[in-house]
Amino acid sequence: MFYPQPVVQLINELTKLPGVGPKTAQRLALHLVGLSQEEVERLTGAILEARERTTHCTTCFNITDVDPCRICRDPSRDRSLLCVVEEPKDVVALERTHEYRGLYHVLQGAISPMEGVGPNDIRLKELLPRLEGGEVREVILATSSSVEGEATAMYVARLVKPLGIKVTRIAYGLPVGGNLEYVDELTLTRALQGRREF
Amino acid sequence: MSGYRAEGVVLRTRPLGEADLVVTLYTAEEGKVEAVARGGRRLRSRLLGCIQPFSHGRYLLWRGRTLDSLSQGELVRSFRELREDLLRMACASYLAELVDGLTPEREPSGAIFSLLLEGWGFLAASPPETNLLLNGVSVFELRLLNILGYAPQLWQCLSCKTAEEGEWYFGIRTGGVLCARCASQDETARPLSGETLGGLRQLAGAPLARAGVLRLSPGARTEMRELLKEYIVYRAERELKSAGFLDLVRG
Repeated sequence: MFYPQPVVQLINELTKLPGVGPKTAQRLALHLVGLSQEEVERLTGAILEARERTTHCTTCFNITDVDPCRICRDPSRDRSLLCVVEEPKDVVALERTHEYRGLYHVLQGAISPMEGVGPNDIRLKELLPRLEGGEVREVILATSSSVEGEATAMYVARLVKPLGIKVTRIAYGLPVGGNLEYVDELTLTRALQGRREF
Repeated sequence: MSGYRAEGVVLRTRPLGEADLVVTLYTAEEGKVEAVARGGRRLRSRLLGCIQPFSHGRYLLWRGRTLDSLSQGELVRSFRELREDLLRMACASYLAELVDGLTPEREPSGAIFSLLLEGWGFLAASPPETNLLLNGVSVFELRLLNILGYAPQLWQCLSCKTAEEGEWYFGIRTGGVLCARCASQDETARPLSGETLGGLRQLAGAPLARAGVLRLSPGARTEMRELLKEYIVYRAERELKSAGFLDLVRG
């Protein structure tokens, strides 16, 4: 490469970020070296602080800056509902709906038979103690509808159902604004199966 | 670049970059093929329905330098039953991994393609009972090994050719049964119970429809699973990740 060594090193580090290819890394690196000292310090400071102050909630395993996290310690949340998701970003997606007022459990992954990711490789054993005490009345399985998400949902259901707690799965169906013509057969089959009285 | 059509099944998928997916297909025309489905992880992708693992479809592909690309697809059968039950899914994933692990790329075999469709069809149509589905998995394993030329010898000692009933061993390296006198010739040989050997003989060459007839004791079941798994891992020269999950789910 024709860039000075420190710039090359910066490009190499940036390329490791998700979604950043060599071209984007070059553009970002050239932009960064053109910034003022103060701006660069603000950026590096923000990265360091985010890294240092972010941890996982020891109750729900979402990422947080305080432990227990703000959702787990919020007295206005409905403690009888527990929503099981794969990743912290799924919590954000559900929170954006403003529809759900219960608690979460973040598995930090999904069971993947083909990749050799088993139930012990995700935060599943931490779920069962949360269901003791009888406070939780319903567990909502909000894992994705991929094979991995389905495998995870079925496995969690198999563990939770014997405890006498209601287990539900989020619905499958048409995306809002979706045209029937463009919806795949699998989704449409599930949408028909899950139809509701109007 | 040239385009081609192929009928195939999706063995597995893995993410590539932000929104793409590498789909491993087993096609009737081209054998095992890896192809990129651009935007295949986006919710609005038109490919989404036909690139899910276990899908059977007709695809339009383009040859590329390293990976082909998958541009269109039409679903023939979704095999959704395999996604809706944990044991069925564990078995179906294992069959897919067997084909993925034991076949080289671009060596078409109509027999393997049909066997996989038959295997998944069997799993989808059968009630999810452990004994039935695991017998089906063993029949599939033995038939796949047979197509690939790795069928284990089950009827007479591989070394001295004796068929007299007695104490039997299974040689993982030699690929079949050995009598007590010859077992020491293969350091991978392991004792084989009469029940397991009888079960293997019954399942080898049996149609999947007859898989339910055989009833094995839990001990013989585990022995058969372990033995076939070990033999296949030896032949495939790689671990089978989904085997662990299958063992966990079958309880």
